[in-house]
Amino acid sequence: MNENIIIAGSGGQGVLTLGLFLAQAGLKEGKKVTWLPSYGAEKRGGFSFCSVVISDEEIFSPLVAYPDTLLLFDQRAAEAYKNSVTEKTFVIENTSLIKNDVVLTGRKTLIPATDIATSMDFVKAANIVMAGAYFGATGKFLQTTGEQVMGEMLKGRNSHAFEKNLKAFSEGMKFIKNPALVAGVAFIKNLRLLKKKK
Amino acid sequence: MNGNGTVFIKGNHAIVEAALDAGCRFYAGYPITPQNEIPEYMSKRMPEEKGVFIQAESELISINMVFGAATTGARAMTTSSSPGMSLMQEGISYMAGAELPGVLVNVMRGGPGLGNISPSQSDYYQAVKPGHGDFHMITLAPSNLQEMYDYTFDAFDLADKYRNPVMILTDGLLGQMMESMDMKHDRKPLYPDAKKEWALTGAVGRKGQRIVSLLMDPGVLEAHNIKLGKKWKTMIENERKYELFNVNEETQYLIVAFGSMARISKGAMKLMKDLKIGLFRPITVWPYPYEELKKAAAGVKKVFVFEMNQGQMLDDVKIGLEGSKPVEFFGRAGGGVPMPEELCDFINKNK
Repeated sequence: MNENIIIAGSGGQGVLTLGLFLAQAGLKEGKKVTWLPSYGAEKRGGFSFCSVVISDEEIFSPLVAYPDTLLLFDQRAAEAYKNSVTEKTFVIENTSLIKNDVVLTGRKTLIPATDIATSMDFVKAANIVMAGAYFGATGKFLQTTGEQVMGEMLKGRNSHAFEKNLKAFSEGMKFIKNPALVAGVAFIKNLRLLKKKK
Repeated sequence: MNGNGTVFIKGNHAIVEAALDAGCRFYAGYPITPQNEIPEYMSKRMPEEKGVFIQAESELISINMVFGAATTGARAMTTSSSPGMSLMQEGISYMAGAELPGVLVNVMRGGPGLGNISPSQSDYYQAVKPGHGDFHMITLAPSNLQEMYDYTFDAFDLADKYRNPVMILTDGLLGQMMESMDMKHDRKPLYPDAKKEWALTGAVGRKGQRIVSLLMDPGVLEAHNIKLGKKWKTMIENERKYELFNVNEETQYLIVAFGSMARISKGAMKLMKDLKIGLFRPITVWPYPYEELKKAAAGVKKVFVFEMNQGQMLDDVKIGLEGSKPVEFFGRAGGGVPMPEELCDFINKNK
């Protein structure tokens, strides 16, 4: 395996955490791994990205120019990385926040990750929904590996946090297998939330 | 932490663990990106090891606190990034003058001036030719997280061995990235209990002694400098370190790069398997392994020097090669980090 991943979005969306999550899944399955965060003067809302390399062999460059897999969280990220996509790139787009489809090449999977997370009253977990999509669509790592890593990353937090994240993870996977199911649920719940607000 | 084992860790954290494993029990530093994880993590870990962590009011004070701690025989460290390291130059010179051991880590960022906070190798000159006065400092440039850990540990041993400051020269890329590496918590420092006869430990039962770098009597300072010069010769003889990667009789092109740029160069080599390219990587960028470089380049057509600056180590490569080979340079400046593909393009255009 030689998997070069770029994850891009905005500060606060859990872009770096998702990178860590995927990196640790790689480690758990015995791979060599590097994780390199963007490091500007980032803050909530600022542009944020990370490169993750997962490989059977020693990793030399932790930098990724043309990713095998590209996870895009919002419009700005899509604009920034549209030129790094080749026909071989597998792209996962968060359609909740990417309305204008600018990535014209690559093999694409679309998922309304933010809407799905919002329907769970847990918008913070949009990154974990994306993780579920990654696991479901690529099949590069075992679902149980993801769940184990999640348990380790949330060690010391309350069990509630773990369950909610686990749910977000499986919703992401489920959406890949049967979008109608999850999208339907998300739609109905969002409708309810809207009514409440009115 | 106990025992050994593989961990997934940030470069800046690896430095902290290595320092503590090497017996460092005094740290003073002042915040600056991209090395902030060092003092942050150190402020948690150092008290666990019953050592002293101080956030000083400036880099000037940090290095002088390390000077003070070192006079007592303690293993002491400070860390900073480029602009902060500039402020420490005076203190480094004073430590070398007073023959005090100590470890400094420079997690380089873009310069000059306040610059930016992106990874850079723009402090090469300052690292290999530090401070004022006629002295030298061993400078190690790790290229992965295992080396961040191993060489930081080595730095403490070398500092004690030569009674001289030692620097770890790294950058924001290696400081910020995470990678798996093996901890060696069981590794023993080489000179942990060596009695530092010169240390200021209170003159109970012995004559008082002092540590100074001001030597005003006629001839005394020259004699001291000559002594430091001899020490430097021993360092050159014993401590030169380098890596050869894919260098053999068939090698046609030789890349010379250090630190994170050496990693990126290896990435480029992986993309250009049809060309016979080797890599020479100085690990001690000071003392520079001049002879070894010349030997490695003996059979090649051309030498490529890659740096994240506009050509600083380039001078040392030219000194080492003594005009024996044509040299091509490619560098990115001001915090620019090249992709391996950029290096491939450069090689293809200039081979």
